[in-house]
Amino acid sequence: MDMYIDSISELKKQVSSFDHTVGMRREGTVIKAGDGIVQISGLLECKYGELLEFENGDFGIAFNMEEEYVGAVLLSNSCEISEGQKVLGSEKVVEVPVGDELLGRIVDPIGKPLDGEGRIKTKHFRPIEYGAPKIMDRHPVDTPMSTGLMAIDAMIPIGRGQRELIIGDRQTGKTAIAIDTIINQRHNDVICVYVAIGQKASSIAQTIKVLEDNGAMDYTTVIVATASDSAPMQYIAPYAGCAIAEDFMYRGRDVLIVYDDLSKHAVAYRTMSLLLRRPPGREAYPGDVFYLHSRLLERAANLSEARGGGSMTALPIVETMAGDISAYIPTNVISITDGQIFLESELFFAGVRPAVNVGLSVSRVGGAAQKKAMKKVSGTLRMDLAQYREMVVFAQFSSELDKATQNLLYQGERLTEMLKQPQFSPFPFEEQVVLLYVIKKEELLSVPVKKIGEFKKEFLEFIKVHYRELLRTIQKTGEFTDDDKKLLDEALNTFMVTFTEEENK
Amino acid sequence: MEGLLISAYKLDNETVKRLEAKFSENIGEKIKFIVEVDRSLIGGFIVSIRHHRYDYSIKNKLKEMKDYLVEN
Repeated sequence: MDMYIDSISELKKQVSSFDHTVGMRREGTVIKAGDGIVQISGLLECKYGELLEFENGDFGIAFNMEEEYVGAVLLSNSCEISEGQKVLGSEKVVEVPVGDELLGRIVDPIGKPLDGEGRIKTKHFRPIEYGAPKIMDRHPVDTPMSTGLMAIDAMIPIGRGQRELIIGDRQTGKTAIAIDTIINQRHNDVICVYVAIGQKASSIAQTIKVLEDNGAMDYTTVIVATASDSAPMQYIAPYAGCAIAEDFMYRGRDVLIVYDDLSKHAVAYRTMSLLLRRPPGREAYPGDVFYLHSRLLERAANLSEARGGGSMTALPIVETMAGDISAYIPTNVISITDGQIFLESELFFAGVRPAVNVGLSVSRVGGAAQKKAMKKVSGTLRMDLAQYREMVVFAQFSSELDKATQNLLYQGERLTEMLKQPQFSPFPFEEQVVLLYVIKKEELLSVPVKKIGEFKKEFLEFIKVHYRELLRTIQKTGEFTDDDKKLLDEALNTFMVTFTEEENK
Repeated sequence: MEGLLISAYKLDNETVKRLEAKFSENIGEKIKFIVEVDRSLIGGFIVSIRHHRYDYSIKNKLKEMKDYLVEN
């Protein structure tokens, strides 16, 4: 009872403190409406990208500024807008709520909560479109953004502030890599933003559940525009996510943002542009489809100390058809990003997961984003795997080959097997260093390829029990000294004794 | 210049003339209102001149109050 009395008196106080002044609102009239596009006459001094309010509470964005009218796109799917209705200008270009209150929340691209946990209580808003950091505000990428996936951290290392594209056919593990990376940021003080564009609601629900189960929602914000949301909603989703991430970046934090995926984003933009009667170009995409993505991805950067030292790392995802990375949208995004992780269906079905094609994948930041220890042990990996791939056709004649080639093949097989990794089991940096050092040793040639997985698990357990200090040293210093190497050699010898015994049993 | 005046209840001619005079003064041009009645405004009126709207209705005030209370 008291609770109600308190609420009522609180309400009375707020009502009496309500100060209402009537301002002038700019208004227009709908002259045509259909297919989510509304033609409005009269809305004078309308800004490009201004948020417009319709009589029934729906929102739209002004996108075509013509001499006699404004063409707006509707953000909702409703069909309630009709000719003659009034439209009010909101004086604001589309903005989204930002701030710490966004962490752990699931929102739509205009900031409306979708997780049923109440309004986002923040006073800060940011326009979804914003200029990229200037050249002098940036600092070269020098800190690793570890994914926890050995294949990537060793050979295609990502740094904080980099844009690394994840590209591949459907069902090749693109989202899995992004989610694993988010999960791995648990103890890295990195805030994560996951933007789901045009996905099935059921898929997004599953992804969110995975994030929750792995404790990632504590530091992650999810922005959702499902396949059933209007094209304009799907269009603004990545920019809204970027604005939310940008706010953290300019406050000195490190942020990871995943755009899943930009192919659907381009399709939504094409839908909108065609309905707005903008001229179609190649594959019916509008002429500025490159700018669509370049202005989004350029906002991810590593800031200088003067600007707070924060960073935004972007992992855009693009889906290819039949592995064609020379198609329109893929080539666009590849030329914008600082490298790509190329996933292949063949590798996936052959059991190589993550299905990374090491030859076609690259990180243009590379070693600058790796700790010294990792650089030491992974230095020749790419080359070794490349040589292996060249020789692998001859594996059928293995008995007729010379010893050196045989060893090359054996080692390549074991390396490939070593780099396989199940989902949701990230390897911390120091464990990766240990495994990558050990795989190159002679002793490993005697372990059958099928047992490499077991070896990985058991050797790590062995190290964690008996050589914990070594792991800690590597983790703390980021270095891998010759003494460390000697210690690890010793550890391997000891371990191999018991391991091979088990084998022969 | 023509303007639109939507009131909750029918206004007598004199009131309309006074409103015309007031708005003419503020805008700087002679305004002649086209008058409409809309009961859903609950009270007050809306004036629309040259695509600018001035909403003095109770309906609008209540809506703004609701938004304000929800915000806080």
